[in-house]
Amino acid sequence: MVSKVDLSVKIANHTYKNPVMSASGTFGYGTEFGDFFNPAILGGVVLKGVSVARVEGNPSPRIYETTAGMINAIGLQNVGIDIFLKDKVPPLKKIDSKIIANIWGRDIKEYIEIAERMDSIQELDVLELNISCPNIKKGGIEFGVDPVVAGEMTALVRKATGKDLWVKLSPSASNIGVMAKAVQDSGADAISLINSIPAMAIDVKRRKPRVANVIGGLSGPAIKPIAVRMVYQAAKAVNIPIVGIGGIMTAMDALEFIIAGASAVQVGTAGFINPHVFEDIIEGIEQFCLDEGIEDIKELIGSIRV
Amino acid sequence: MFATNKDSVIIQSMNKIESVKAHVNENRQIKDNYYLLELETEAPIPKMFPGAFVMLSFPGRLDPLLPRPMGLFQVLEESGKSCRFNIGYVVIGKGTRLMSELTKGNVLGCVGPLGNGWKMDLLNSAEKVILVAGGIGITPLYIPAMELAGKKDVTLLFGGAGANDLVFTDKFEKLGIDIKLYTEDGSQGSKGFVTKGLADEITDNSAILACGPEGMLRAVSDIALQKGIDPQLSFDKRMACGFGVCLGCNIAIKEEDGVYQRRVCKEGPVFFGGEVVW
Repeated sequence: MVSKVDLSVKIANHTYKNPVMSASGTFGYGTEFGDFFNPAILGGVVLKGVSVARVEGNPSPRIYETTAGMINAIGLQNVGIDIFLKDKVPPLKKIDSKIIANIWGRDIKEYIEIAERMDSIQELDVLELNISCPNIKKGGIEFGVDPVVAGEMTALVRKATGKDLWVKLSPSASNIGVMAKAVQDSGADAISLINSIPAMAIDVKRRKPRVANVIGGLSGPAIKPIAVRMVYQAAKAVNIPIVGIGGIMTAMDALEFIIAGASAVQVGTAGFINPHVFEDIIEGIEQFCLDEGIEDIKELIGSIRV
Repeated sequence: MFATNKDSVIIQSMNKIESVKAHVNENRQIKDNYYLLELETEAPIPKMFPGAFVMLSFPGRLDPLLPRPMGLFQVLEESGKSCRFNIGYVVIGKGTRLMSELTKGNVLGCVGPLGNGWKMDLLNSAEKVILVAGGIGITPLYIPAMELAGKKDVTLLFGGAGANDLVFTDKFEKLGIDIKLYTEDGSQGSKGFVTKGLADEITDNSAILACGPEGMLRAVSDIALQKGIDPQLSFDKRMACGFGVCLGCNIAIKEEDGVYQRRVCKEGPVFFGGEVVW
């Protein structure tokens, strides 16, 4: 009989108390869920993506609900690095968990600048690199589609920070294994995936796109099977840890990702619907382990029997 | 897309919020597609306020996935154990259709109370308060009407497409306030938009609260501002969370040093007409 489960996981240089984290862009700057629960219960708190300049984001409408999912085109709205450091970082001191800052830029120079400026901030444990942004210099194609570009960027940001560096991959990569290998070989400490899937919905009567930006990112349970597949493929291609993301609503969903090869998971859209879902997922994973006689969650990572 | 750096913190709602289960006490069809839903929370929630809203979700369902924002109509009972309140809604899509099928004993997810409500303290100095409602936008105006009735000259201008859209008028009649009805098809009250008679109602010392479709809010704002009154407008937007993290319910707001995207759920849902960039 198992009476206690070790839920902690190790990703690169840090140990996380459990494998459940927030997902960037769905959890504000770490304190916004404070009315519902103490964010310190999370294995890691992943913050909203920050860029050099403040970004107001896209016009309205920005979101639209689709079958078992939602399309969002927020436009990477954020306060910018100056206000982030001044106003958003100090409250993080009170959160007794690992803090993962998500960073992005409009060009490689901005990626490096933001990584350098965050490198000295001791409240931040990890930098998660969002490479799913349009590369303005290359005609708006995502950095995250081309393994050569993604690798170059990872290498440059790697030089700019001594913190653990995670690279968050886009589902638009044509071969996720090749992409994962490229960022691993360029110095990434871990890989998180997937970002939302480029998607559209149309108001048929008005012939208008449902979100003002025309194209948005699909998230929610509708994308989970695709995300599980990509985690599985990425995990087979690399030996650095994987953080799984995509439509996780329950502990069972989270366990699918872990069994497919993820060391940890991020929960996003589900928190909009039920802000207490993080607690439910952590408890559910623990209960599953107790029921199955698993003493250490690490036994389950990549345990898929194919 | 890129605004200048602004050295200020986004104003956050200071109201506490909670996420609880709410039991359906009653779900009654009022007229056509309009319903009245009475809910009782399983646990206490922070005190409700005029103009607050809640996010209602269907536990365990993946489609529809997201909770629905619903404006508070009436608080029936608040205690240290629960909150009993009702909302009015109109069936327009998948979520509200599912809501219309709820029966006593069904359980919903409920997050609230949300937003910054009507700025009631700003009404103190007004002699006359004009409430302007379009369709289901009538419900968030009930608590202000109730609080102001008998204390001030209160006029309700209420419009809809047809007579079926003019709901809950009996509740407002009981308050003894002045009520003027409008329908676009002329089936009840005066024929035309609710804003038709607004200019004539406005006195030098009036305040205006309005809730309804965005086109109506804009018309109310234009008329009121021309008369030198900055109206309070309560907006309804698609939102995924209701508490400020999804950033989906933005509206462009003019501030001293520029135009900023603000959240209807957190900085709103009530904004002044004069600050909205239409």
